[in-house]
Amino acid sequence: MESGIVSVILGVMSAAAALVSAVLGTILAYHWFSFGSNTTVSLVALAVYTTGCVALTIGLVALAAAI
Amino acid sequence: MKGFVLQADEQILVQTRKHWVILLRDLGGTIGLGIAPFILLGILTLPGILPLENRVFLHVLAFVEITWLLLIWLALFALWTNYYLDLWIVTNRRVVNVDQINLFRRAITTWQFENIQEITTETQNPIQNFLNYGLIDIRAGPDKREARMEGIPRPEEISALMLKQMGRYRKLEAANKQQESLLHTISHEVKAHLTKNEAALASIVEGDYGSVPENLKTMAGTALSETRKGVAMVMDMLSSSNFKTGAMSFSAAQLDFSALVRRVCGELMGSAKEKGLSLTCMIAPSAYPVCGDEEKLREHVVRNLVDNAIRYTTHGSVEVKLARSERAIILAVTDTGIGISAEDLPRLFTEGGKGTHSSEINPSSTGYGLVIAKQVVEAHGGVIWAESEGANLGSTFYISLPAAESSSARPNAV
Repeated sequence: MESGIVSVILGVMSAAAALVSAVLGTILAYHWFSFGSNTTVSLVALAVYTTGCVALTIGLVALAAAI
Repeated sequence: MKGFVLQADEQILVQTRKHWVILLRDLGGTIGLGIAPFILLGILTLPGILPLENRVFLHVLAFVEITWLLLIWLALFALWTNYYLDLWIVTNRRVVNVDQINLFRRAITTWQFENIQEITTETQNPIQNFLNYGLIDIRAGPDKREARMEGIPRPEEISALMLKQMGRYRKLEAANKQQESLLHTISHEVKAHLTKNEAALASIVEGDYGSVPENLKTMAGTALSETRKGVAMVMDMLSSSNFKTGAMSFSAAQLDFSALVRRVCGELMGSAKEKGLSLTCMIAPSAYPVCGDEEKLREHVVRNLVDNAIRYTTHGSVEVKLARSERAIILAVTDTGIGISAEDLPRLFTEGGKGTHSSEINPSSTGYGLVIAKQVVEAHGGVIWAESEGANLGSTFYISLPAAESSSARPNAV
């Protein structure tokens, strides 16, 4: 029972983290592509950022589910 | 890049970001902050303070650590973005500092070389010396406003480049002043000769020397007309020069702007008819009081605009409309003439800024008329602008002047 509540809380926190990452990612990407002078740099930055965020969020979700 | 557009004939000489060590410093600090909880956790684990045998606790702990890593990951990218979008650009005309202040503020500051008075560089410690980066201070404007750029790579080299550009500007400025002074002197001399000629030719045409053969009278009449054009041209150049040197003065009296517009329209009606154009003057019923210099507003502004409209219209009509809002008096001169292309519009009110095809219709145009009109209107606290759908689609010139009741503004002596 206790672990179930903790699991739900962590699940909600994971969703919130994913949302924050997506919102910040959109703001950052807007800046890179609007104000940056090089599209390749912006694309690479977006790819690295997204990979990191996705990997960490999957880790969060996995932990929330494992409890 | 948004917010920074190169002007015509402008070239980028140097474009740089802050030194990489600045990024390394910021990222290093954040990475250190990211690692700190793990080190703390390691220390706390050793004496057995944490209940590591509890599976739920372990999962929550891992969750918190990963969340922390995610936040650090986001912070690293925010820092990199600020670094990546901060730019320092030196062109052959100005210095531009593009400053990304957190994610929601972006400041672009520009210093024109002609306004920069002093440039100093400073490397503050041995590390900066070794890695060749430092700060550049710029003092500009009459109040010597100071701006400081930190973490600039190769500061000595960049400041030397800027000083070189400043030197070029100073030389150009001096040469320009000399040329303007020479032009002013020449214009004065030419004007004196032309007015003497004008008087002599007028005497012949008007019969002051008795009767002259008809062919001589015709020739003198043509010469007089050309001389008058020459005098008008030289007067335009002198007026423009006087504006620049601050030698132009204005009288200030309350006047009825509608009477002034009616008078100009009446005087130019003949020219319009000669070209087969209809010239209409529509004045909305209202009072049009303006405080200003009647002669300059009439000759340099209203006459200039209506005369131009007639000159640059080969068929169709010219409409002069006068209306007023609560605080402003607005004159619109619309024609069905050669129009103005989008490329020509921005340079219309600059010295010599004629339309690309205007010389084909008016070869004697000096390109000074609209500059003078703008200076006169602005000296009266007004604005002047032009609109056109494009070449051969006609154009409308507007002026807006403050109405006298709502403004105590008198023309500025320039």
